[in-house]
Amino acid sequence: MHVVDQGIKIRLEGMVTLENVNRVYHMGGHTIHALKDISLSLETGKLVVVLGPSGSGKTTLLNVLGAIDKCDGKITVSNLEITRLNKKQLTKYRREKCGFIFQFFNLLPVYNALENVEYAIELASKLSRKEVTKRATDYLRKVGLFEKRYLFPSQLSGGEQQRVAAARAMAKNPELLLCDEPTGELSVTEGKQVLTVIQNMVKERPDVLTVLVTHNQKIAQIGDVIVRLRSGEVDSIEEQSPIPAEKLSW
Amino acid sequence: MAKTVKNIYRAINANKFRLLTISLVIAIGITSFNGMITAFVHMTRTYDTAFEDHNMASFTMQTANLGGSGEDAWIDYVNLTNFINEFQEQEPEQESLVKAYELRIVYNTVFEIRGEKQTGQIVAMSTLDSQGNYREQPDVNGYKILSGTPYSELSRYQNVCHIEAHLAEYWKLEPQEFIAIGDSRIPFEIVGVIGSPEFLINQGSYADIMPSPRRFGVVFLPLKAAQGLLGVEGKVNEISVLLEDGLSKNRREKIASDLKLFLETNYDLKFSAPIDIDNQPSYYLLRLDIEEAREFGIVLPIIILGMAIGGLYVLLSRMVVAERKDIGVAQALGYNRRTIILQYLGISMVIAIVGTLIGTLLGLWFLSYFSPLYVDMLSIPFTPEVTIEWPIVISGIVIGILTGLVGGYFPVRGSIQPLPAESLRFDPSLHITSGKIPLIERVLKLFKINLRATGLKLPLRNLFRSKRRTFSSVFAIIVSVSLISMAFGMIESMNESLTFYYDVSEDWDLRIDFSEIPTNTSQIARTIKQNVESVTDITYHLLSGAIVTSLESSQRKQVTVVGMNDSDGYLGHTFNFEAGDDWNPEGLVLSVPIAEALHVGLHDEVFLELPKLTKLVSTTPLRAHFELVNISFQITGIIDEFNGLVAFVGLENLITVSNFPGEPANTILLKIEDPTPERLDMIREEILAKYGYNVRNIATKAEQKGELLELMDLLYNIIYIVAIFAVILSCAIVYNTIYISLQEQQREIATLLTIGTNNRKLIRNITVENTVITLVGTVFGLIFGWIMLWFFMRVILDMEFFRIKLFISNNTIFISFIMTYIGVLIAQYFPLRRTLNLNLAEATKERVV
Ligand SMILES: Nc1ncnc2c1ncn2[C@@H]1O[C@H](COP(=O)(O)OP(=O)(O)O)[C@@H](O)[C@H]1O
Ligand SMILES: [Mg+2]
Repeated sequence: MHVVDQGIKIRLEGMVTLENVNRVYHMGGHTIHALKDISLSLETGKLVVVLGPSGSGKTTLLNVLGAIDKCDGKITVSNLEITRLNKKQLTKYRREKCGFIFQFFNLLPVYNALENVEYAIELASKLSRKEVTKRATDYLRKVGLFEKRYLFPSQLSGGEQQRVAAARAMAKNPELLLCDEPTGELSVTEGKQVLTVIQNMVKERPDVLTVLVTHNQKIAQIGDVIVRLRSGEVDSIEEQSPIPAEKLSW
Repeated sequence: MAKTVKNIYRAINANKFRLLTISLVIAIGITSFNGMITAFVHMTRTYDTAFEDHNMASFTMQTANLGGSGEDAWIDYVNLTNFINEFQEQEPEQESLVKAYELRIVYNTVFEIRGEKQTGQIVAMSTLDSQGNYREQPDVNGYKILSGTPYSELSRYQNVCHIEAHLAEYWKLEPQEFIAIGDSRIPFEIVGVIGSPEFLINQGSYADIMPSPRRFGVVFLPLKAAQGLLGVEGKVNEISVLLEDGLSKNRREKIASDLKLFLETNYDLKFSAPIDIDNQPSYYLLRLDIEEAREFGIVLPIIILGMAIGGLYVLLSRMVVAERKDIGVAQALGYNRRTIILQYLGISMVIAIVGTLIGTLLGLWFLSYFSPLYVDMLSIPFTPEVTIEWPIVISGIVIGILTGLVGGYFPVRGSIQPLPAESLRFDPSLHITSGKIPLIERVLKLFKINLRATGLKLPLRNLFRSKRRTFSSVFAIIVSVSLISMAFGMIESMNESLTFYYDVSEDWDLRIDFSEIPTNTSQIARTIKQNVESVTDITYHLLSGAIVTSLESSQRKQVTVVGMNDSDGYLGHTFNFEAGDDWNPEGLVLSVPIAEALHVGLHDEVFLELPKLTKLVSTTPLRAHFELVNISFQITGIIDEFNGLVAFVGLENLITVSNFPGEPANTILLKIEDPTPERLDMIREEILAKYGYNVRNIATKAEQKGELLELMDLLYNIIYIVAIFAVILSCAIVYNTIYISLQEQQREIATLLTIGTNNRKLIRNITVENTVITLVGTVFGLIFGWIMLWFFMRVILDMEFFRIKLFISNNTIFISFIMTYIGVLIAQYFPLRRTLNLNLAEATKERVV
């Protein structure tokens, strides 16, 4: 176990580093300090679980990592200081380096499962059409949806949609996989399938840093590292030996 | 309740701009309803009051040979008075119905004003009442003195006159000036300028398509002065009778024909058919005018409010879809259906009420501008009283609110059916997705065309994702394009018809009208051609009024007959044949509206009722007795030209039939080499100097066209107003629909941005989608625009005087597309900008609409 006190200077040598990251929301008259002076260093090949109660700043943390929210401070992703990028560069960063899995799936409803995955691959790579399709199919097979690859989101269950989302996020070979409460909308069984998919991906891809946000203690057990957040501050960081998702129950 | 109000307020506040656009549509509908209908109520009342206040004759009867000489032209004043009194004694029942009568002289003659000749009519009535006492106004057919004074007691011994307002205005005549009247040019002093309801529109006959004070001016004389002028001491030639109020037309006609019969059988007098007040030319034409504009005033708001209902329906049904989850929550929390329906209905009511209020105020403003404009345009000397018509205002408000109810209730009711649980699990973006691969993509696949997921596949899928969504977008485009193309098409059709008429049909550069019909026209034409430089062609026409009758349908139509002379192949007119292919001097060429009204076609026989000379009094000026005869003609051509009530026959034919002496014609047409305005002016001066003795007017085509345009001003004004409405409406509806359509997709767009789609590609995809929608909508919009154009021009503004060829040019097509497209681009700009600048974190997380 390894606890880091706030204010103590730590060595930042991981693949992803945050230095004094602050995020303040101004709402009406008052301000909300969603992230307070966060400094972190995260290694690739790990499944980092961010755990905290609702409103503690988990989603905000994930969003600033994925560059879909702005913040003060410095964030570096494999030597790229994303806090200094312009809009265009940010788009490129998200396109090539980040894979998102949202709580609400957010698949394109007009595309079937295969096309949803293809879309992300096409965006991020210069592969030929054939290769794109092959790769998308491979990933769908990996998440157990080969048979259902021609179905549209409206024809898939929530868990299936989320597995498509996982395939979409991974198929483009990201450096960062960001999952925000991916099981929030799912039943336990469905949730376990999705988490298993994510765990498998982490195992397969040591070059990828996966950050998973949850408010659920049980789910947090699947992670290699647990970052506890409370009121926008890092409470503790601890490493643990992960429990396979299929063995969980919540 | 308070909570509902608060919710309504919140919903409105969040969407205020879009809701305001719908309010605007309703406002325009109510404006046009209020403005136009009230304007025409005012108009009608203005005419009716003018007619009543001035005791317009219930019917008028003129001697059979009006303007001629002899027994059947003139009747002794005193005798006629006795005869009529006798009639009243014999028929005591009818006597009580005759309020008053007036014996007058009506005579077509020439005036000389400021040294120029002018044709017109004199109207004369006694300055004494039946007891022989002086009176200021006649008992029947009174008038309003606009400037100057009424006749004095001495007037009947003097050569004084009142001149009618249109004529006075044309020549800028003032009291104390003189005009010369009649062939012997006797000077008369003008004592006053008057407005007479009898001559609200200055028109010699129904067939005169361009009433102009230059062609028909009216001068009022004291009876005695007129009798002296015309050498008919103690005589009159017209009876005007004022009956009790409230008699039916049948009743009036019965009394008129009884009187006619009585006078004709007992005293051997001869009258032409009595003219009922309803058929009095000025009254008749104004009513026609009003009727048409009133129809317009009803149809236009119906169309606009129909669109408002459509707009509200789309807006609310989409709003409800987007907020279905909230509705589910509200239901789960225990709100009943009624409260929720009430809440949405409240929104639509607020829109409707705001629109109705704006519309009512605008309508009143519009009114205060429109009624006077209309009156001014026709130079009617009777000012309309602009009052608020509460029944119309209230109807407008009711209609506006009904619009809100209808447009709001149905979409809301439909969507609050489902169980709360379903609503809670509802995803709006899935709702607008059919989840099918469109046929067109499958077809493309057959040709081995596979679209990339990041390419045009997305806009294509979007286009086909939901029938309802695409339909409502296309519908908005259709509304826009059809409105704009209709409005511009109207303007263009009118312009085009006029241009065609003057550039092609009317094949002359200068036109000479004579005051008196010369009977040696070919000689005049020959000398002009020989002596005036640059006259390349010259010909002449004889114009005359006539009635065409079809044997088969027994329909009758009053037309202008043009007797055409073929001078070395120059007709002065180029026919635009719809049926038939060549001018045949033996046959008859009719315009489409006449052929349609009579149900006749090519090679059918029709009768032309033409005057046949029975007794020649003098050749210069031409004075003669006529009788009307029916001559059969074969239709050898039907023409589609601007002039709608015209028939052409060979001049030879017309002369033979009419038994006219010599070679009569009232118009000479000249073709000029290089007709610059300067040269035309020079030639005009030359002709006036050499042959001016009998010339009434020499007009260039531009002048004649200008005169016509002035006359059509009202129509143009209405059409411009429609065009402005159309453009505003189009923008409002397109904006709304496209906006909503993008709002619904906001989370999707945010997701696309999050996973790395760049702005350019995103904007491209949306633009492609909207462009396709605009193109498809434009195609249908043009079809509907054409139908609406046809409907407005042929059904609503159905004027047979003018035949307007319907026309939508490439320019109009282009303009309607471009204007709509710009509307689309503006509409997509705002929600796109918002989404592009959105906090993606928020947009991907929450349902956002
Ligand atoms: N767009 C926003 N505007 C204002 N406050 C926000 C916004 N997003 C998040 N917050 C606030 O920031 C804090 C952290 O939010 P979030 O990161 O979503 O928490 P979590 O995901 O841990 O539940 C909360 O207090 C939340 O209310
Ligand atoms: Mg969260």
